[in-house]
Amino acid sequence: MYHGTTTVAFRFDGGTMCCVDSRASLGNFVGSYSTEKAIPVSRTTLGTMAGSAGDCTYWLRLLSATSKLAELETGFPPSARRNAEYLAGLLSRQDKNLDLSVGTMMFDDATLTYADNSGACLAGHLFAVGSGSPYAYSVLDAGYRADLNVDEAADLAEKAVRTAAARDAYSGGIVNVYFADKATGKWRRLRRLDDLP
Amino acid sequence: MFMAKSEYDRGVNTFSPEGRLFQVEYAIQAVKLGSTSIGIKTADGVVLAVEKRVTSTLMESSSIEKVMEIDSHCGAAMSGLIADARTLVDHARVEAQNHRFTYDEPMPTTALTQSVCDLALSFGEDSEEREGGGSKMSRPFGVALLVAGYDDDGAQLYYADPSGTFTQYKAKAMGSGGEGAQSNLQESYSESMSFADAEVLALSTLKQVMEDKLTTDNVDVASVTKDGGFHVYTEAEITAVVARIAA
Repeated sequence: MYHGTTTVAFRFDGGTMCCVDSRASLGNFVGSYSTEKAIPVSRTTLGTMAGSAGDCTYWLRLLSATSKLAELETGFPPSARRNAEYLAGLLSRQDKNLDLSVGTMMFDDATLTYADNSGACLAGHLFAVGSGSPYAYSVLDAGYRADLNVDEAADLAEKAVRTAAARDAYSGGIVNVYFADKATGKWRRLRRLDDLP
Repeated sequence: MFMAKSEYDRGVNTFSPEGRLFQVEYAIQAVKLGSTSIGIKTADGVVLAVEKRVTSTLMESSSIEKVMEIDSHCGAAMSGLIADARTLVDHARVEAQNHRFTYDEPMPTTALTQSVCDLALSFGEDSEEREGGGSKMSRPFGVALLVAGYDDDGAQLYYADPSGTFTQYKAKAMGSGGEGAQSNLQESYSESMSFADAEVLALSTLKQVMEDKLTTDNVDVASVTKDGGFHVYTEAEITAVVARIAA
């Protein structure tokens, strides 16, 4: 279920902004228009999902359990960077014949990391993942600045997903905007918009 | 096959002729040597308070941890051998996360306490057949836990002892000052008491049975509530409760 997706995230001065669509498709069949494509890993780390919904849910929830155990052991939750590194390691050790399909951006207020089933784990300041990502990148690259304020950053992330949803048949549904705030160290949902055509 | 009477306290899996397992009873005695722990349940949540024995002025009291989080909705206070408690709590933490992963819901407090007691009872010299194989513990755990949680059934407080028995309590005290504290709870507890009153009762009871003067350095306080989940009190929060104790 669902290989089509648009998820974007970027770091800026105020923290990390993230926007995801919510269409779940199987070929040209749209199975759901309200899938949650952002999965909580901890109070501070959020992961996005692209690829197979089942694989992403399974591995991110497993990561969430591991992350909580690490928090109980050390007294603080592991950073998004650590979580991503752990997940990439875990995925790269899986049997290739399983044909796992996981593409995730993992972020907290200070780090943003892309990880996938090949074992790739890339830290960066701006990513778009999924079939709609080329359209999203065009919007992000044109409008990104590190000194955007929170509203401007949310607008940019939202516009990137809206553009992709218009051009990519496999993206759409509800638009969710999440923000990991440097002021609090935690993530929260800023917007949930159900107005795509 | 004659065994002298004193020999029945050697093996952990040999009953004495009177039907007693001495090693388990000795483990329960180990709890009574430990520092005092108190748990009080109200409709709004559970309070846990534990004495920390700071035996030297050079000791960093913040490094003594006698209330531990098991999951965000549940925690435990301990009296006895704290190292043994860590093994039990680590086990409970893994079980709690396993439950969340499998069922996408917090683990019920009863089930959690049950799983702790399963481990508490899995000691013995002959443990090859045990699930997971390999013997982890050749003796009973010398520690008792007060497990506090908040779940679909509301606030919960369980007492789990080294024999693997667990009992639900409204208010329970254990450890060296446990008997005195328990009779105080017996007198002062009421089912309708507020959470704030329970905080005061827990600390005032602890204050009565402690040999040293109660300070923010030598007690650990934690609560489990519906909205706040498991929470260990900061020094300021402990001070605030202590201030409410009538002199």
